Amino acid sequence: MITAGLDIGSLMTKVAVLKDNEVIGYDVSVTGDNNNRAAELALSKVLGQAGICLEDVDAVVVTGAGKDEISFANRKVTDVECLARGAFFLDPDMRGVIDMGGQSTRVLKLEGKGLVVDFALNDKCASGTGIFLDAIAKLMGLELDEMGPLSLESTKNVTITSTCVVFAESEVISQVHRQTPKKDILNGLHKSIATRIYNMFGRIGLDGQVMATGGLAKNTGILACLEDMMQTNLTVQNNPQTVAALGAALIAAKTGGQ
Amino acid sequence: MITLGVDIGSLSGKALVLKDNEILAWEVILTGPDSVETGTTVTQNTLKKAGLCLEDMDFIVSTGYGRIVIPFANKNISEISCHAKGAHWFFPEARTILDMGGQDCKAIRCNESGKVRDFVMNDKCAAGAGRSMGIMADFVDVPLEELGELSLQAKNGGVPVSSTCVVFARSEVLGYLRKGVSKSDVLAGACEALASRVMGLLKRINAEEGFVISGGIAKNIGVVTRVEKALGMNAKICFEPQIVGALGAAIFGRELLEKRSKKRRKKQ
Repeated sequence: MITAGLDIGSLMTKVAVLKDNEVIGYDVSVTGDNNNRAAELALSKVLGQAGICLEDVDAVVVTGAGKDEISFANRKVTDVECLARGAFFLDPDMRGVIDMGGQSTRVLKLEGKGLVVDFALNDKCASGTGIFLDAIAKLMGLELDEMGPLSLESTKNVTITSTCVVFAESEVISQVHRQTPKKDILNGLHKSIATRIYNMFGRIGLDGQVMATGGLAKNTGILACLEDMMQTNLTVQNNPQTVAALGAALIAAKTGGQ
Repeated sequence: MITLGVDIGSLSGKALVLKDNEILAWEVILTGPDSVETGTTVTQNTLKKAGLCLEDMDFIVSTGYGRIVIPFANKNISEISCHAKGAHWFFPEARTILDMGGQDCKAIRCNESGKVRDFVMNDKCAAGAGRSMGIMADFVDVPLEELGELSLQAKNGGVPVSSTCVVFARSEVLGYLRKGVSKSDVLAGACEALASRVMGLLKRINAEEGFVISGGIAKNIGVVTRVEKALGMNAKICFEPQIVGALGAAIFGRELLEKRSKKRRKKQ
């Protein structure tokens, strides 16, 4: 059985294709302005690479912010469900998931066989999401994937006091004018984002192994800050952005897209 | 009696000279990185306009985000109180004041004497402050002063724009512009978003009639019109809404002096 899972995020579109419960292809690409088109392109790219055509796919499940606009999906499922399914498949020991996306953050508490018993969501405020880093990367003239490693080289504590990305941008500009080293500014920035994410754990009460997913899970600076606050190591898979898409593909396999 | 009020906000610095009960001179300038420098510059400009110098001031009150650092102020008073006082001077019937500056927004209830009864404030989130308009103006490439008017030209009430976050709104607007949505439709959405944030604050303090708007936002007809419509009340706006805080500060200066001289007369 061949199934596909599509996670249409506000910034990135992720695809995972499964054949008999094994991942045979995945992709991460920019969503852009047209969700349906992004989905079509991403899926055909992965299928092409695997030598499969759309007719061979038994079921397509879609999730993410843009899921309502995908004309060719058999079924829509919430990203919380898909994340839990994907995380559990990758590691059945997981008792929590921190999904750090481009414009939203989710914290999931799992029990038993990947059952979501509680979760917290922020999709209203850019603080604590990937777009914060993106905005500052542009401001400071850095590449997104340089930010984390550079922040870890920091030798001095710099605090970004504003939670709001817009106000924080002004603070970063003042720091740059004061010639504060970029690595120290970035350290303060990463701490600010991690704190906002950590504050979501509050009422959830995570314990046991936790998996970090989403684009920010590739950022070593964020991971280091979170691990420091949580006093535990986080589990991060290769391609952490595709966990929800994987979960969607698994759900497609189980339900046949019904 | 001549008093000076200085209001140092995050985006603009204001000063006003009050002689007895008459506004002699005032000025609004953009706040630089140094609050003291901003305060000094705007004060000097205002004094020059009035043909006076600092020594002529009987009392100086500072207010606003940078109030504590103004070295030549005799006293600093919160901007909440100063805005209520200033608004009440212009409009004695003022009971609800909406003040929105660059980085914050306050909804204030005051009594018949201009004394603060209640207030709520947002100073944490740019989506509910004037900054959001500045960002939209830059993004859509329209001068800030024209934004409001342009937003009222939208054909169908505009497109939905996030009211919870300027950063998300920014992405949405980019998407709209790429799809060929008109500037007026986009700006209508942005003004609507800000108006809805304002309504949140006004509802929390149970806004009552006698509605005054001060601060830079009062110059944005797009937001003002939408707030008036949602609230069901007309807004009163003075000739220069950005000086309301500095005016209130100057009035407080006068009142403090009057109290002191009353005390002295009693002792004698």
